[in-house]
Amino acid sequence: MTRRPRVLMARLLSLFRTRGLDRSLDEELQSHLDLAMDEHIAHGRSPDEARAAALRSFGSVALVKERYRERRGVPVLDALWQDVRYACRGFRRTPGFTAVALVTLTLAAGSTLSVFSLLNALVFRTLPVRDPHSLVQLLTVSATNPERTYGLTLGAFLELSRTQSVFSTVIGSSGGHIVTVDVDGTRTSGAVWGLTGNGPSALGLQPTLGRLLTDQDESLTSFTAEPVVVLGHRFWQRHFDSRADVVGRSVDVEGVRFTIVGVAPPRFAAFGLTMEPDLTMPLLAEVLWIEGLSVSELLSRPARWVQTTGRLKPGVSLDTARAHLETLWPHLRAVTLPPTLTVATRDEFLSARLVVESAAYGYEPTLRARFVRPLWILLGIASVLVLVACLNLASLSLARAAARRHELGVRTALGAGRGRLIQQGLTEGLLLASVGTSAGVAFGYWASRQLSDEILRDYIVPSSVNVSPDGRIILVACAVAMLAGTAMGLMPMSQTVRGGAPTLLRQNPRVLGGIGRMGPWLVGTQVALSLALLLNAGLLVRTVGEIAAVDAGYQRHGVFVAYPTQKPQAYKSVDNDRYYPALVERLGALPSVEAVGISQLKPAGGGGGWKEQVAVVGGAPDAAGVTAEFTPLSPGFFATLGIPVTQGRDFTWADRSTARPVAMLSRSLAHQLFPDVPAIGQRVRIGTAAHRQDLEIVGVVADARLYQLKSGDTRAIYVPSLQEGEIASFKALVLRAEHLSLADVRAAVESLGHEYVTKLETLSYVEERARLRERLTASMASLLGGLTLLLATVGLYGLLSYSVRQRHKEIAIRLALGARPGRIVRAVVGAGLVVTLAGAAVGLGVGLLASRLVRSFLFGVSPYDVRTLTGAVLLLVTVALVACLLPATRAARVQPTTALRLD
Amino acid sequence: MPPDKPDVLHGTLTLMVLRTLDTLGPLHGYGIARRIEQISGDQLSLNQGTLYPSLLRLEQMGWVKAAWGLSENNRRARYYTITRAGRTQLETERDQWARASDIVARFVDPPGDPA
Repeated sequence: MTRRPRVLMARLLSLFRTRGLDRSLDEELQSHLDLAMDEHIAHGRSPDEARAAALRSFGSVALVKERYRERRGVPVLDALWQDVRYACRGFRRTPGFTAVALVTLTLAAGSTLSVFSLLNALVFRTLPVRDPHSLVQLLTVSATNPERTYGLTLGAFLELSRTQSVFSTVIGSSGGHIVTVDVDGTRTSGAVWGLTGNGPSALGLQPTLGRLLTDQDESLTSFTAEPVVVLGHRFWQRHFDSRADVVGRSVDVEGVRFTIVGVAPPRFAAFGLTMEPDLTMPLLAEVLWIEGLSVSELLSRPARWVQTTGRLKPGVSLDTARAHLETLWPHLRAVTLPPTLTVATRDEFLSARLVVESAAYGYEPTLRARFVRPLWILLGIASVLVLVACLNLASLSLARAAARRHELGVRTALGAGRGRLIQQGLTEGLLLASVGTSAGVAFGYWASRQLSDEILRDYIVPSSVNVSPDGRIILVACAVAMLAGTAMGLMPMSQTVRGGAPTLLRQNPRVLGGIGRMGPWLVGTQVALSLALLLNAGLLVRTVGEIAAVDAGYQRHGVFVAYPTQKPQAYKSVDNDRYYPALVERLGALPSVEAVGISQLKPAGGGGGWKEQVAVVGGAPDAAGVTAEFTPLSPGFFATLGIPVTQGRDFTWADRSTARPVAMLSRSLAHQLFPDVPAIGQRVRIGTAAHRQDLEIVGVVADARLYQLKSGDTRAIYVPSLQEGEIASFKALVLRAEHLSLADVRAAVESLGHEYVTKLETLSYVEERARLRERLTASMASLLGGLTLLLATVGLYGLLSYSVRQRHKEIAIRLALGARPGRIVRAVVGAGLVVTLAGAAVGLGVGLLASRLVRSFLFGVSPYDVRTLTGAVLLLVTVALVACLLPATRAARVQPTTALRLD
Repeated sequence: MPPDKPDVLHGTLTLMVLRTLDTLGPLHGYGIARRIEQISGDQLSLNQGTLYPSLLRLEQMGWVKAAWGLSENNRRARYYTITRAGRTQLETERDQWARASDIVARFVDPPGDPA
């Protein structure tokens, strides 16, 4: 029927004007009756007879109105709207229940969503580029140090682009250098990123302003003539006030003038998840202008610095591409061998393996390795919290429905079917659940921002993870809302309306209505789950304590750390043999500084160290050697950190690049390599680098865990920084002082003109940040566990209160007959304890099963740790006891006379 | 005792209302009900109220339109007028009714059979 849409439209529109339409209908029907009456009166009847006759021939007015209304509106929506209004009235009448339900849901849903948002950002979200699943990243891994990944050399990248046949585009990028930027005379720092010209179009990026890089910007002639740069969105907002006239203006980057051609799209974090590049320039420009290399140096540079990403041609799978590239790789490697490599490093270069992986989810290995596992654990815990919250709300709703029994009985007697009542209950539950969960979404977003800020706090450039709600998060929120809504609406209503009107209308029900049978089970389950959570939270807390208690072998108090950043152009003229001692001297001259040292690796940061194979010179030439932590450092480092030199001497400035190569061993390494002879004077070789093949041991130090507190391996070898050939750009300054200001350190470092300092931290702070992962997990787990315990306890309290209230009369009679109040108290508390202990027993089992799952996360404490177990159980029983005592004492204070008088 | 008045066949109410409005012009609900009663010679027992849901349906279908007006004795009443679409529908329903009664007639009084 072609009239259908018209009718539907009319019916939908009428929903908005119900009151007006009702009035109009009333008027019309009244006018009908009036006209009928007129006619009857005209035929000679009396007004009363006329009215009676009119009504008789009309039929039932109420029935007509109902039929009319049914046809007028959309009955399903009408019923729904009616239910919603009824539910809201009900909520206003029981504000306590409504408030508790909303708060519980907000906290439970919010916690789950906040954890899930972070997981979503790290695990499920793809890069915000065109067709992320066809992007592939290429990494190289050296045979000796498989945890470290690198890119390709420039030569390899160019050759690959030329000879491969599986990618439609090959994009090269490199980034993360912090540079000084001059914006209209204001100096600031920013992260610079180099990108090949084909990048922005291949990724489908749209500029916010102006344009993005193109292939033309890449040509050598182009960027020597006019170097161009694209601003990052956040950088543009912060330093240019989001002005639209930035295009065409210039900025000085490390003293080189660049022209701004556009602004990048917002929230674009290159191929990673966190850091938004502040400046993007052509790939080669970045190296030539910023790092100051010449073109030929650039082409023969052995460093594998080009991050390579390819877009698969349509129809080509990742596996096909991988196979193709792996066959191409050995030849590629050999043909692009940098000429400046020594024999030893050449072998290492030629043994590097190519890794081909999907780049759809971005490149963020450190963050993921650290936080994905704990987040899954926390998600599990939060889900249990949601479950307990739903159980709790179900029992609250049961009690509420039981109180409305009379009203439901009246409605049933008036003709409401059971289905209709259940529909109404479900609407009520879903309505409340939706409101609570929506608040949870907002709360979850806020909480996830806090968490992400905390995790990324120490990144040099402000970074953030994208935790904004997307489809997946809404889906999870809806699932929670459905679960909670059904628990609050369906279950109680279906329990209560059983039995029909007669049962419902009974004045003094002997049984506890709907709550009686289900109550203890609901509470018992909550108790069990909360104990399981408490147990695991306790284990996580113990882990943090155990890590903190590890004897690291150095003195952390009173030590400061700074990480100077080089001024790239100035770096080339540095003579480290002179620079390092000068730096240490300037810093040592500061008033409160007692000792200064330099290390090429970040101490106490929890990051991996640098492992190398150490073997004795003169032993079997192809012996594998012992794996040990390798750290180049300066004289004074050990003194600053309070690591005693047990044999021989510390390094001195005489151990410079031209002097005889020396090394120091940790006690355990010395013991392993030279069990029978003193290590001093012996010779060792480290790895395959040419300059480390014959080192004389000059000292042995006490064992220290400079990097991984959790590892039991304390074998370490140290070499002087000055003898470490090409010193990498990273440097950590350690200073022992009572107090120290950043300004002083800055002044001392910058006075030498090669580097600058932006941050000063204490070693304790660095260690604390290293433990962030464990600390965060433990505190969130405790928070969630505490919440769950609170809910379970409130549930227990509610259950007992309710039962006491129901059995008011029985208690009164007992007291009147001479029972002692103490007996009543004991009975109530006993009932509560039965539920608690039963729940605790189950909870213990569940908790121990769960702790096996988190075992890999624990440190220094077994999953079956007795202390934690007993602690958790004691906490639970104590809190439960308090929850039982309150209603129990209330029961004992029942006045028999007043209770029996009220009927 | 007069025989029980048969109930109005469901679908024919539309036909009767449209025909009434077509013949008599704009009319209020009471007027339509009285007219139907008269034409059927008081053979139909029509609860006048049941007219209104049908009138609503006709309005929703766009076959009639309604407006408030004044009756002869100055009473406010809602007057219904047939629309052009309504006239078309009237024709359609007349044909359908004619055909339907024709088919039924062939069963009840088949041609060629002695009555």
